[in-house]
Amino acid sequence: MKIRIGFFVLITFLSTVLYAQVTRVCFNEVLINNKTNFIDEYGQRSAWFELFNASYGIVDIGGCYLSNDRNNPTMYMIPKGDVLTKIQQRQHVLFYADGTPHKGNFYVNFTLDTASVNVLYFFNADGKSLIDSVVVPILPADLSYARTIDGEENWEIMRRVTPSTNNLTLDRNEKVEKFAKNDPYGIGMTLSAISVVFSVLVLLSLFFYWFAIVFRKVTAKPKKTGILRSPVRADEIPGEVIAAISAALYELDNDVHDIEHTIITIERTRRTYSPWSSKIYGLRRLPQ
Amino acid sequence: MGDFLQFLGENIKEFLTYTGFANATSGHLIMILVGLVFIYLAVRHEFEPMLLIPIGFGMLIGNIPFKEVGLELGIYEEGSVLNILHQGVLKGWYPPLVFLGIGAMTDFSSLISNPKLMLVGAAAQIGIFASYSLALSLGFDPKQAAAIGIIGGADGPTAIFLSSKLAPNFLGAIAVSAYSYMALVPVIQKPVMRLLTTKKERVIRMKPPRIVSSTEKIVFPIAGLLMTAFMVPSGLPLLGMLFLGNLLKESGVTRRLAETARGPLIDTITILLGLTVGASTQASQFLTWDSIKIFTLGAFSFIIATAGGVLFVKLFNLFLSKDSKINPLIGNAGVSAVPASARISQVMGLKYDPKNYLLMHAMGPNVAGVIGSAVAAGVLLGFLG
Repeated sequence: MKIRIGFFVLITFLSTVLYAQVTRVCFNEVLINNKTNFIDEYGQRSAWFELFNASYGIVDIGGCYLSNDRNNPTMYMIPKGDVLTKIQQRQHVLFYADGTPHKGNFYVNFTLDTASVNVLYFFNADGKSLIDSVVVPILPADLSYARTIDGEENWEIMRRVTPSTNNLTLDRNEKVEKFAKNDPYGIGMTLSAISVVFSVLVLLSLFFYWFAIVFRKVTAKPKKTGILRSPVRADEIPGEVIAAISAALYELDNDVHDIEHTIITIERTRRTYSPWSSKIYGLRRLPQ
Repeated sequence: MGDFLQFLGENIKEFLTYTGFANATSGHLIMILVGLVFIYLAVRHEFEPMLLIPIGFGMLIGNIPFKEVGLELGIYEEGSVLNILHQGVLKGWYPPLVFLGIGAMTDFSSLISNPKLMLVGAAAQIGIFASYSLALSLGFDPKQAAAIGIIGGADGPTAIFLSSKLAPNFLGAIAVSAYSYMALVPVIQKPVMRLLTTKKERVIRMKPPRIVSSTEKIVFPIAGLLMTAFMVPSGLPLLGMLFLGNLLKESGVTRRLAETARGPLIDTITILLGLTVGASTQASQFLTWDSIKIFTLGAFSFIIATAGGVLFVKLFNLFLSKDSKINPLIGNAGVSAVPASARISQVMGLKYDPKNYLLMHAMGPNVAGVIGSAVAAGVLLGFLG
């Protein structure tokens, strides 16, 4: 019992730890040399970078750390308790790197160098686990370094700067357009979808076909010599057969072979399932 | 005194502008009539009464005309009671709960004992894709066509689930169409079955299903979930709940939960689902050419699905030995309308051979159809979502 409880606790602990580490927040866009670009709430231009929540759930980044020095991972702690640090699913937050943290929670205490390569780090709340980092090349003024598509692998230098919005504007549904263009009669969809439906059900069908065979072999009791055994299990014999055998044994035991005044009634003792039963209470008239 | 009477007169006049009589249009009256027909069919002919009564009455509720002045009355007014109840349909959380109940009341024994019947459930899904193709040719875009096509799965919750994701604008029409045709299964399927089978085929007797052990019954929902959901994760909400419900039933240790799932829970959700689907058919939103097209396509998909199941059995029989042939009258049960379509197989079978009981055999493809339509919905959602 103790082993079972211990195993359960271990599984719960591991799943909690693994879940906590799955943080899908990443750097998404960085602009270092801000000459004529985005103006912050104070009316000033400074370097900025964007974090993106690539998951489909809300993530609170309060308590996590931002840094531009690998040896100083806890350089700037994102304050806790701010509702704005909870990033909605597939949304962005913008941080200003002007070294003036007193301006607000989204102004970090370090700056980015326009003349050299910068590296940005995003650490988990433990101050040790690196969640994401990005090496930003030297950028011309007012160009950003950004992921081509939000949250995806590829980065590029972008002329069209997109602070707090999608890097790639999705103004159409490519999937649907592809289907409309390449499969106007739905033949491709029909063939591929029905194949999947068949595959799933064939797989399920084969599984249970083989499972039944294996199960019967595994559960079959070993034969013992000298004992007469029935080739079928007792629970597989229909009730009528059992009744007939019982009647024959009764006749044999009582030597009543030619005396026919005994009446045998076959009565079902087990309520068999019927799919009707699920709706039986809803019927106003019972089936005849 | 004169001023007072004038004041009263104006008040009454204004009040009258708020009444249903002042705001009624021909559309409202047509939809109320449709609602009354639904109620009549349910009460008089017992066509799926548990669905048609809430839907029919919902149509009456949804089509009472009123002046929209922000009183939060109508189903499409943000924050109204009906609107809140309708969220279960729009956000798609009623259908998985219905599937939980279906799982808890379904016995998969016939399917486990004769796994090849699962293929019949797969074949009947052809109705979905046939009407998808037809809908495309009628000018619907792929997402709308997929949502319309799923009517052919003959599974109301699945149709609602998919249309809420792919074509929310057509949800009302699709849901009403799906449930209407499910209620009309006896009318639609019988002629198709007669047309596609010979007298000799109709009297084929099938081997009785073997007894299935409780271990197999417990393994079924677990293996079923893992196999289907790994292949089609987008069908997870429906498949997950279906198999969970079945495990509650078969495990034997969660009897109370199973009782709740197949009793009070599914009854509650069915009432809310039926009511809100019916109420969502407000004439202004519902009476359009698209709705008429959807109804036509729905009938077409049901016919093709039935034909697909029956013809597949006939084809399958070519490869089966003489003593393991399948009666093609159970092919119609591949459309998932549980247990109505299996009941049709039974009735038709008894008509041609009074001692040929097909119900248990038909339940195999019937429940396979539930899985098949959920998988098909998952595939469509995966492709187009």
